[in-house]
Amino acid sequence: MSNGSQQENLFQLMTKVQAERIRRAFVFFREHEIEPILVKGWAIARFYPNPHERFSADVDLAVNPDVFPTALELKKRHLIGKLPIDLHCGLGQFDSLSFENLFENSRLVDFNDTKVRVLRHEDHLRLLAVHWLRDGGIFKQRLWDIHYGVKNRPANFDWERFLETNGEKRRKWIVGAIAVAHRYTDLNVEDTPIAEEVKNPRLIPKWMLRTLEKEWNDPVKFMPLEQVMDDRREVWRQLKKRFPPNPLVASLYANAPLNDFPRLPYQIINIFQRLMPSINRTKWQLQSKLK
Amino acid sequence: MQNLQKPVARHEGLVVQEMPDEVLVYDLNTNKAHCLNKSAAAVWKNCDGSNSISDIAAILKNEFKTPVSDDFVWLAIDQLGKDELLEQKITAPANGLTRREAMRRVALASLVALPVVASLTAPTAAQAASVCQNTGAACSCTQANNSGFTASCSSLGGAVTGCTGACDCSVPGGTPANTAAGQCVQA
Repeated sequence: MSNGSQQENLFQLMTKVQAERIRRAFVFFREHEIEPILVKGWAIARFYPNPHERFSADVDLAVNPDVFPTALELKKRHLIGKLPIDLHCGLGQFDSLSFENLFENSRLVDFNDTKVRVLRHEDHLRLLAVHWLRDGGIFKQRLWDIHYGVKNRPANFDWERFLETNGEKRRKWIVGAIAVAHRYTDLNVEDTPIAEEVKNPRLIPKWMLRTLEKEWNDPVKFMPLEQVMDDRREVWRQLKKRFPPNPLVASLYANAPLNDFPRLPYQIINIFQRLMPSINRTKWQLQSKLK
Repeated sequence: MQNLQKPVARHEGLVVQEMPDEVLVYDLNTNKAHCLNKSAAAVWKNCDGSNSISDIAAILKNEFKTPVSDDFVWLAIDQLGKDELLEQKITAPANGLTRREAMRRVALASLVALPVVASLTAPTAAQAASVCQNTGAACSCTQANNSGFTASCSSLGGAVTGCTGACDCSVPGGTPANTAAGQCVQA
């Protein structure tokens, strides 16, 4: 059997594994009266022509911030090492709508002998766009989430819900992410109300295109510092990579508009914004290792 | 000598993908993937708690149309047990042979491929991303990556018609934990 088809078989297996993990995660949290929302992963893979191609290694679940500490404690006590769950405290870091609003608009879909709660497609696509930008656009392949999210949207897709509820700045973030998908994945936007905007070559600032292409071509890729602590050379490379910060990440973290203005102020702010959490994470990681 | 032990295949906590020539098994408890070749899979499938080792050897003999010894089945059972794919690990009756000697003896006597249970490295999200979305064909990644890395097709952009040589596995990224120290931190 060729390596290619063996890998393909393995991906099919992992798709089934992921389905089982999702089922177990929902069963587990529901037993504890917590209703999570599945984001990313299968929630978007179902819009791909071949869902198993959109493989994810963990299960991203968002829970109401009110129950997050309980959910986190349950995860630590019962699931670590068994179910790779990435637990999100609400979705406030990606979206301006309240968790309650997102939850009320979420849907239950049949999946693997259970019902899985997913965001309304308009909300999910918006979240994916912002998430991609917040990651600095470094994951080029994740543009396909946006591509298939737009291309295979339901017939009753509510563009108003998708775009109008977030204010002009966030609206431009989202349209901007779609414009990047249009540019790099040939996403057809002719049948959308934002076609003219997306096709406007001035919509994506030049610094953003430079940033994206630099990231995609950079052999040193962003990795969490705590994952590379054992390798001094990699730590050095990672530190160098963080200075100056990715202008796209800096803009999103500073809640700044994506326009032609210089990014330096946001990059400076970003250094301070990320320093403390990064130190905390590294400290936590080291403490866990010492234990 | 009659082998009367009746092994039972484990099913709980396993995800199974059957292929024409092999069976892929993922253990959700250990997060390990295994690949059972045709003969190992045949043994495993017949471990239903009612078949003894000798019964399984007879079933395989019928299936493969060639003599299959109890030692052959034991070889598979030994590996399946080690990889926790049986409800209970069972041990072969001592015959004074080392595992290597036993294997050689089975190999010489058998016309069927030796049972093999190989451990697989489960693909990371990263490697999965190296599948070209345009074609559905899996790209072979030529550069080794560290765990947690991701990869992308360098031809991403809509024009890909085949993936030969078009994949680029040098786009790591990792996913930072977003629940560190019990707080919501950056994802």
